[in-house]
Amino acid sequence: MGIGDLMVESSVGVLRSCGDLKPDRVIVGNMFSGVGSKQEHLGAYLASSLGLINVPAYKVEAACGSGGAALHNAYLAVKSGESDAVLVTGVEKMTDLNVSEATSALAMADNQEYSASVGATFLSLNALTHRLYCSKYHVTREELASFPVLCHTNAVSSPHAMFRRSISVDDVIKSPIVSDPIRLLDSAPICDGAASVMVVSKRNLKRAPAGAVKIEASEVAVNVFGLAERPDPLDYIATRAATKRALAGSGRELRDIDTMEVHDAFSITSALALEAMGVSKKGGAPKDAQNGRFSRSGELPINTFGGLKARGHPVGASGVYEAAEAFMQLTGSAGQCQVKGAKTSLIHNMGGVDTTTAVHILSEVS
Amino acid sequence: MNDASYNRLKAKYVGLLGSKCKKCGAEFFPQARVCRKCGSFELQDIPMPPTGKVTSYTILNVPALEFKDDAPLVIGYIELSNGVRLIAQLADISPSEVREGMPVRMEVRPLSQKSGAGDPMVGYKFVKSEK
Repeated sequence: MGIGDLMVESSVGVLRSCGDLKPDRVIVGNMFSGVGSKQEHLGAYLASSLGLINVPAYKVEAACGSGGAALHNAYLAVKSGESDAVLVTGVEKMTDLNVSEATSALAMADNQEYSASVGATFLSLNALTHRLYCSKYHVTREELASFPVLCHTNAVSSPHAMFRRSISVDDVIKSPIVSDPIRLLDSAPICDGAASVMVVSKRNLKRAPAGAVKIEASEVAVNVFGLAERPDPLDYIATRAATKRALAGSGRELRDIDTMEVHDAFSITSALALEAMGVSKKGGAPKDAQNGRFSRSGELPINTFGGLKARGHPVGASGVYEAAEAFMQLTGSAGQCQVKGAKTSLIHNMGGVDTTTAVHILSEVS
Repeated sequence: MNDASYNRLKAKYVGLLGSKCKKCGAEFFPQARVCRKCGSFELQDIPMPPTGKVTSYTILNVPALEFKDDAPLVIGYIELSNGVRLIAQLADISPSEVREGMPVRMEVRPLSQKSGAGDPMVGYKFVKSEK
């Protein structure tokens, strides 16, 4: 499927479940369709393909956080009263590029002239933080590998996941080294995908036959653009700020969150994100994962359908996948991935290394 | 990187050109137009000191297209002697000898093997230093 087919197919799925409710705005989350498919102007492309002429339609881009940023824009449009129904579709077509080309495309998330142009890749930036983290907190590779192991375990029962098979810590450690210390199985895959949700105003709530969840809070924050320039490269300050504001805005505390989708582009990003949110103490997230705290039967289940690692990471789509997955958890339609009694979910989506971070808190509609 | 962007960047790479805030003295690399520390718009260009130490590193086996012939690349996260940090390739340092804390100094080198033929694109890399 091409980029058009992907975003249209996913959007049709949501429109079909919304009966006669038609979007009055279309927002596409996407990182690099220009490089990946030589195609831009996705807002008009999608709206027109859906027969929606004359509606406002545009693409929102924030690297791998494009999906979360698109959702945030839909939230603002509805909250302001300008829109009553906004279609949000995240899409990425990555596999028309070879691995080196995709690597170059992903490197656009950091300051190109001072990272990619001097030889670094996006993966190598995360590898620098992985090594720093392990040295600073005496965390082992095995402990960090608990994250991909957990995600693969969850993906086995996830119908839309890319890798529906479990892996062991040993598999992770022995997988090919991409950018030492990051192994292949520490990394979310290059893949294609699209996901869609409809954000509606209160008055349209009853017109959504597939059920609805409430967006309690929608926050976006940015960090210093170049990873190298940050006072502390291990401190995900955008994740911390967006989470703090989202919790305050919804009147919630971390202990109210029943499930979480965390942006696990790499094993290290899961750990640093959970620690910045305050879920785990600094240096403690891998141990928590190893002890089962984040498993589907644990105290705080994360990445309940496999996360970026095992569900797949079509970069600009991932934030919308997270929203769709939280929707399934909160409406009791998660099938074998269902976390019993899930009433409130937090989803976390990053562009770059915590460079743009979107955090949403969603809850069941009683 | 194409020729046009290289021509624009060359002097900044070769001179390790950064900025210093005229108001609070904070230093930045790459150049900054606004001081991230005090918010001032008054900054001046200054070359960064050419010495520092490796604070983290990675051995990159799967580089981007332009660096395909250079794999494995040794990439360092370097703290310069003024405390400013940057990411750069380490040259003449093998994957087995690179260490956290290793003292390094800047040298101007071709950025990649590919750019080494003819008139190479040059930039900053860091090599082992005595102190």
